[in-house]
Amino acid sequence: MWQRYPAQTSGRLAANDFVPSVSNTSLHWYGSTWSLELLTFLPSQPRQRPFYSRDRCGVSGFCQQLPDCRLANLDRWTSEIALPRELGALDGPVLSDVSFEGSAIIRAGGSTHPLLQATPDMGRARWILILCAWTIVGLLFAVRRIVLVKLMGTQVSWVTLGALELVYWYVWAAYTPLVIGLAKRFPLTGPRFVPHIAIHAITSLMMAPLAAVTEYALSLGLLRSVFRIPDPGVLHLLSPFAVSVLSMSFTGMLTYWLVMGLYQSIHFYQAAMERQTIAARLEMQLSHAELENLKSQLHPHFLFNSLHTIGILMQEDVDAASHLLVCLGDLLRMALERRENEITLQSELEFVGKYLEIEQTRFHDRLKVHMDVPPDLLAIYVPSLALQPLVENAIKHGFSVDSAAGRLEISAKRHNGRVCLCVRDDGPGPAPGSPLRFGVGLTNIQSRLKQLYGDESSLELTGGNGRGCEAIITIPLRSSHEDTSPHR
Amino acid sequence: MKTRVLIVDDEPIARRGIRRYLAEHNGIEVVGEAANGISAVEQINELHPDIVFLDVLMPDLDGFGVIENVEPSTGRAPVYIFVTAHDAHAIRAFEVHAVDYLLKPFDKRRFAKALAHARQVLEQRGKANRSLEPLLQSLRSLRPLQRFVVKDKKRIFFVPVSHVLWIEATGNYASIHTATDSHLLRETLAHLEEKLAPHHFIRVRKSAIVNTARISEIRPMFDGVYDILLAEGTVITSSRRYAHKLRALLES
Repeated sequence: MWQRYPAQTSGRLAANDFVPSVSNTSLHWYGSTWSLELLTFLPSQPRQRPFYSRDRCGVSGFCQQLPDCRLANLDRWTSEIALPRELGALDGPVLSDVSFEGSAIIRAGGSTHPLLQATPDMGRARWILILCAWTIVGLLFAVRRIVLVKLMGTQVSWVTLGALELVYWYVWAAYTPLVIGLAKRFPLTGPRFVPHIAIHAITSLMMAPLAAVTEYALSLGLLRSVFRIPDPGVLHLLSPFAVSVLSMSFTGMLTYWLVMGLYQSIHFYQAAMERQTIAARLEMQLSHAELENLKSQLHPHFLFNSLHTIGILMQEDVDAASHLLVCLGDLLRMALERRENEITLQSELEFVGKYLEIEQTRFHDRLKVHMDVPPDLLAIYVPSLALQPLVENAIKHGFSVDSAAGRLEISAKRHNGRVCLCVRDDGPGPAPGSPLRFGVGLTNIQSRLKQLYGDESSLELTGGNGRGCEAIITIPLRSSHEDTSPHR
Repeated sequence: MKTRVLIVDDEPIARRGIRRYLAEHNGIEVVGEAANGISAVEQINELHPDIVFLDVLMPDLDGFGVIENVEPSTGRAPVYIFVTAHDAHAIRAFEVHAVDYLLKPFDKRRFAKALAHARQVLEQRGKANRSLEPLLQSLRSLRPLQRFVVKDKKRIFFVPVSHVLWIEATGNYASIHTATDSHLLRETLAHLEEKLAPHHFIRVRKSAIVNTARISEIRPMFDGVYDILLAEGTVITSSRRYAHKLRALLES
């Protein structure tokens, strides 16, 4: 009932966070207002219950409450939803908000998108479908009865026989929505499977005789008023009341359970198809995110250039080449395997060091690196892979575009109970007056910072007076990893 | 006569690698090495090499910038072999225009093939020089110009496009105006317009291109003519023919 969704479902969920699997989503249009309901199973409560609902607000109000909600484009519908406290407290870290990016979850509605369901035409189509189905059943039984009666040699018009059968099955057609409603309300799955069977047993026992009485009354009325047969018993068209009702009740019981079963199997089939679609989509998102992650950490250009350098070095200096190969291997391993959100500054600097070692081998005397990190800060926790993209950025936009550039400074310092991590280059820097734009790498860091520390953190990028560029990450000072619960 | 080769790459090890591979072939003379685009342009102009191994991504001026800025000399132009590690756009352009390129990492065999091909082109060619213009053009559409290369008598220097307020046509030349300076480029306005990012720079009349980021005010005058005020106070009057571009800007 609870399902772990990988962090990549949205950019804002950490790996260990929980998102309840939403089993039922409905979005209804009431002519001028919307209502949204997400239903889920909770471990403590056996019944499906809404964990989020917004009732009847105007379109603009609805959109205001769900930031970035674009109703016109449901493919990219992002919204932040406040989870009830009890949900967050069940397991794992407490979540203050969940964002359904790309919304594989909201679209749990899948092919039967709630927006389509809510339109009245669909409702009418359903009614027509039910009526058609029962007409076919009724006609089949009518044929059976006509054949039987003819074989017995009784002289009764086939129209009368057909009408009697149809009356019987149309009564069940009228009851069908009620049965489906009950099947929806008390599904034959989930933890309350046994009580639900009992409920259905009781309702079927009550409904079958009720239907039978209705059928008897309607049949009698039909025969007397339309076909002018004052005494149907003589022609064996209708048995006496008690016999009739009893036999019809038995058929009725069977009919009730058949409708139930049919509804449940269609429902199961749809749910299975949806789950499959969602699973496939999540799988795709996950692998895509992993690849993007790796690409944003280690640019392909860097990888191929390093391989080329190793290839050349192999012919000049085998030791140097193998050293570089080991460096590259370590770097790849760290980038691929690193899963924790936070690591010590020391480990992050090790990673950056490996990266810079390769770059320095490639550019040998051109790149000078200055590190200024007080030893007592080495043990603090920083977001993993936050510094490396900044260093790569500095090399890409500073060092690689300007042959006069060649100095890179990495520093860490305390500042008002927080830590500033700073990467500075002496490249051309941004043009004066032009806005600094964050690329994919920096945007990534920024959203991770916000997720980990909330407003206590920041990422700034400043031009250094016409020359050079400086990127500064500010985070709360923490020397252990335990007290970093997601920011509320 | 030996084949004269110039090696251009910003990584010393990569240059050494090419030298090492070249040493295995006869009749090759390495006339120089360049570690950046500017030095490459200077050496090509001065040394007239037959073959240039040209790294695509380099500081100051990338490989394509080098080709664009080499003086069209009286002698024959060099055959270029592009070297790149990972640049999907460039590789697609190379393939479309059938230009030889080496993908890092490459080995002796691949290198020998490229060299043999280049020497063959060199032999056959004599008169008919294969133009690289189509290649450069398709690359231009992928990456707009980042900075202007200005050549005066003494030096070559850069003016980042974001520093430029507007560009004025003067005959077959174009003057680029920054807040402090003006420089003459030996290029037509039409040519420049093609190279610049379409939303960043717009043509407002036959003889003027304006940096949209530096526009402070647009005053409609009459009949589709606008006065464009730049942040520094310059006023440029647009012509009716280009009014649609301004309107598109205002609507975007």
